[in-house]
Amino acid sequence: MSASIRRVIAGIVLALAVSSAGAKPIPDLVRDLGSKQHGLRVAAYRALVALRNPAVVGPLAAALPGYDTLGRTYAQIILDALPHARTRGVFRSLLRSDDPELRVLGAVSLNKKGDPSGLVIAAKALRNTLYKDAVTYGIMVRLVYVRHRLITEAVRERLRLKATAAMVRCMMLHVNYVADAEAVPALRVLTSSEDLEVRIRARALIYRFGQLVDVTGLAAELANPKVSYVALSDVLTWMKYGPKPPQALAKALLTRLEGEGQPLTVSRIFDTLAAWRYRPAIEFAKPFVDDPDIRVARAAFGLIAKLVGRPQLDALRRSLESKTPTIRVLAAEALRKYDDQSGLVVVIAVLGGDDVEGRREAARVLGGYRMREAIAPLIDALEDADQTARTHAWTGLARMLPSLFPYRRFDLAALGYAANSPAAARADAVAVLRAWWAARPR
Amino acid sequence: VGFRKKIYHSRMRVLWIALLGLLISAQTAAKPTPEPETPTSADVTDRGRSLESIVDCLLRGGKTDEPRTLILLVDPAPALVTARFVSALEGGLKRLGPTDLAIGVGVVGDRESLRVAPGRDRKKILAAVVEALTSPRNAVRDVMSAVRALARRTKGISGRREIALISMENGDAEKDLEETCAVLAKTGTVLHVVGRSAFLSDSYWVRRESTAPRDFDMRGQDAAYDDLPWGWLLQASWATESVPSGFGLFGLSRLASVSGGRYFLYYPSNSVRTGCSPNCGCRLCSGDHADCGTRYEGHRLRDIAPALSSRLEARRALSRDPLFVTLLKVWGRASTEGLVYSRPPLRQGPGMLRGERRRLGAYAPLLASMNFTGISRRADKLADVCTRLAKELEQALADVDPDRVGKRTIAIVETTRVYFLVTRLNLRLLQAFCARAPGWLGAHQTPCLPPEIPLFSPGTYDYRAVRSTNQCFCHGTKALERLEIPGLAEAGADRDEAFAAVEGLLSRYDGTPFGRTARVMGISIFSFSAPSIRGNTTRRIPGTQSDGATTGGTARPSRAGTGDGSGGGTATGD
Repeated sequence: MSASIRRVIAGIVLALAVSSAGAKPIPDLVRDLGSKQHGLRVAAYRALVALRNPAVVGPLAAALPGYDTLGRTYAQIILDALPHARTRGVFRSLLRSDDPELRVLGAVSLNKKGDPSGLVIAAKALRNTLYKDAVTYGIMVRLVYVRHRLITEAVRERLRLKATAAMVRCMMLHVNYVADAEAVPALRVLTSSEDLEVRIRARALIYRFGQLVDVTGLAAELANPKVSYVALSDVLTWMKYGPKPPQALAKALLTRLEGEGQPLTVSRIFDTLAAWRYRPAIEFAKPFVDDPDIRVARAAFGLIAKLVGRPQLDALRRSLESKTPTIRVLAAEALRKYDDQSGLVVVIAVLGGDDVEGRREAARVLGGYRMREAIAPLIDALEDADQTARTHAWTGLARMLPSLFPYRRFDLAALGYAANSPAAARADAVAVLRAWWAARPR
Repeated sequence: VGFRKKIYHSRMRVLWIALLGLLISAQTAAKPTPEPETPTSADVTDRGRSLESIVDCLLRGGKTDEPRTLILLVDPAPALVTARFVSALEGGLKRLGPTDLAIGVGVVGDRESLRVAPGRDRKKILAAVVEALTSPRNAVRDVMSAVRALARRTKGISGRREIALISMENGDAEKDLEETCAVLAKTGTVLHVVGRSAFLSDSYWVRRESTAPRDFDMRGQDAAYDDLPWGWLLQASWATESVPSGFGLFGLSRLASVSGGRYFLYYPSNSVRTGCSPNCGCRLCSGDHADCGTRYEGHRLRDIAPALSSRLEARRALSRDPLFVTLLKVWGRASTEGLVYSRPPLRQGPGMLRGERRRLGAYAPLLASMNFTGISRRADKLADVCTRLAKELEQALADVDPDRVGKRTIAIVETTRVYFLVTRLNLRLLQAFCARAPGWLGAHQTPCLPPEIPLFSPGTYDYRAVRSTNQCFCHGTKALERLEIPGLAEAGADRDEAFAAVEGLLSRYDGTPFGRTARVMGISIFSFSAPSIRGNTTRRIPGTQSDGATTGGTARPSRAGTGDGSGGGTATGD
């Protein structure tokens, strides 16, 4: 049988499989990808990603100019995942497009496959000041994570010009990504911007490069509750690459904590203070250990566990008897990091308990142990009533089995297990795993 | 008669004088004068300070009534920018208050040795440092020539003259070290150093001798020589390129020592790499092991601090050290057998040890085939060699008087012995692997229950050789029992002896680089390798430079991710 006949048969089988699963045909999916209805668009995107069918290249290439920025991003992801031999022509033709955003899209995708020849065009588009803000933003969004001298130089130039806050953020993300210290003079100008978030981001980036910065001003802005979570998150991420921060900045974060109600922000601040090893934060974190929001409780406990050190492990061992299941689990995890496995039984007990939040954490933490005693409870947790717990258990097993058995190979994907699949399908996969584990010599 | 009497008397006098001389010399021999104690790195190293605190120390100086002149000699590398040196200096100058201290600025690599002449204009000083660090570049620079030029240039300034060399990278590029010592001594200049920690017995430049910059003597060890055998067979992570020594680089430490200065160790906050098995990934944790980066303990480091005498004096001293001489012999034989990649740095010459030119050997051809019987036979022979050499070191340790031998030498010999025992265990594991390999590759493989699938796919891959990775001892030896490793249980006495030796090393040298070396060692996990099918698809735009390329000067290669234990670049946290 020739290869072409085989391809045709495979195509028919694939088409039948798709139609039997009740999926839409490719042209409909491509049309939905350009829809303004978010749900419809995401569903189409997911279906096309799962399809991984080179047959989508033609329809997508034809529809691409009609899409908005998000639709184009989705289409680019789908095309990037397909063999380069099938998409190269499309991207090359995009380089000649009238639409600057499409030209950049083509250049970036070609660059991902090792061909940076289009980046000259992309850099030129970024330098063009005649485009509208929305177009420039669409161009910059695609160039944030492109590591090339031409792009970095263009961003450096663009940073000196007036731009929207969103555009400035994208450019700063690029400066951080490529660690372009030469952008510091342009960033210094931005520290006097009227926009609070532009100002704080600029200061944080300058700080990230170890350059002189007004620490008092940065501290005041860090403590300012008007700085959104996204901006704060950017700032803290960038500062991670910089030198060890002075205490004034850590104190500013503690000030911000006092009036902060957003769990994400609180947990992020605790994570940062733990990374900075700011010991006075321990006392601040203690009341948050019982926080009803698990992210906050986990971050607060993580900070305490990280900063207490080995001499104070007894305090952590006492936490194994806490009334809150989550705290018991987190204490066990902290002890495990110090090679103390005494919390394993506690985690297994919580995993079999009634507390949903505790079970989720227990499944996650159990996956971090590298002990055979953890395998059976994790297999059981694959049938937990809670999907998050099931997901954690599956991830943990997938990491643990190859680690504990270096001379065995596992094809867990073949089991067909998914945490969100129907109970019957999950039960089949779990039965196979149980049979394998039962057959293992003890 | 009178004349003869005279001669007789004069002869007698000579005889009497000679006898007296003999008597005195015999008494001197019986009561030896105490030798002046050799300075060690522990005497000059200042550890655990923040950059702000280091700057304060430099600016305030010790108690002296003399007027002081301090020259900041800046080596403009990106690490200094990341360390926020400018900010630390600005804070330090503010905190200093009114003082008579005159400060000057020099930049390594400048034609003029002084960029700002010593004075009290702090804004000018800060501006010069900011300018120097505006476009920092990683390059190999001649710091020692810069120190010499500066010492000579400032010779005429009255009072106490101090140079503070701030260099995070270039202490390993030596150029006329002893001449620099002499210039500092002659001009009466004190040299302080702010720099990184050396790696324990750093082997980086020895291994890359062919690519090292020709203008310099590239070193970088904490001691006069790389005294710990490195490049062990079946070890993926090299302690000599990943374990910080806790002391500065030998060359700069010696300069600080002879001039009466200090070596301030500075650890960049974000470059400290944690996590065990840096090159292989740890199978016993999720990369969150809290004990990996145990801090070094100053009092324990003091015992194993390397001496800071000149290399010539170091060779003389080592020639008199029977334990070190035995180590060199054993190292040489291990190299000949292919158990270590390196050859010893010194060899026995007439009267004293001489430097060895040929430093690189070759591994025993063990893994480069699929002839399992042959591999197993060679592994067995090498395991026997390991046993013999380990016993020899054990005997040397037992014979030696611990009071007459340096503790560093003892630590090195003990570590080497453990390496032999671990290598022997790894060779036994290789034999166990070879015994099972035909079964794994054969057509009639043992069927396995899903989700398990056959370990290897001989039909898909063209296996050509055996390869190995490591599981480190960072979690202790007992934790390894949790892993299913064929041959580990069968290794019996060899396993027990190796594990006991590792545990011994971990407990005896915890809080020192030798303890961390024990953590970096590991047992081998074997697999097969097949030729790569991926080609290089990267294309360059004609007429453009590739990203990150540097222009002019000798670019300093990045030491991160070299795949042999050198992770973390200048990561020097302890």
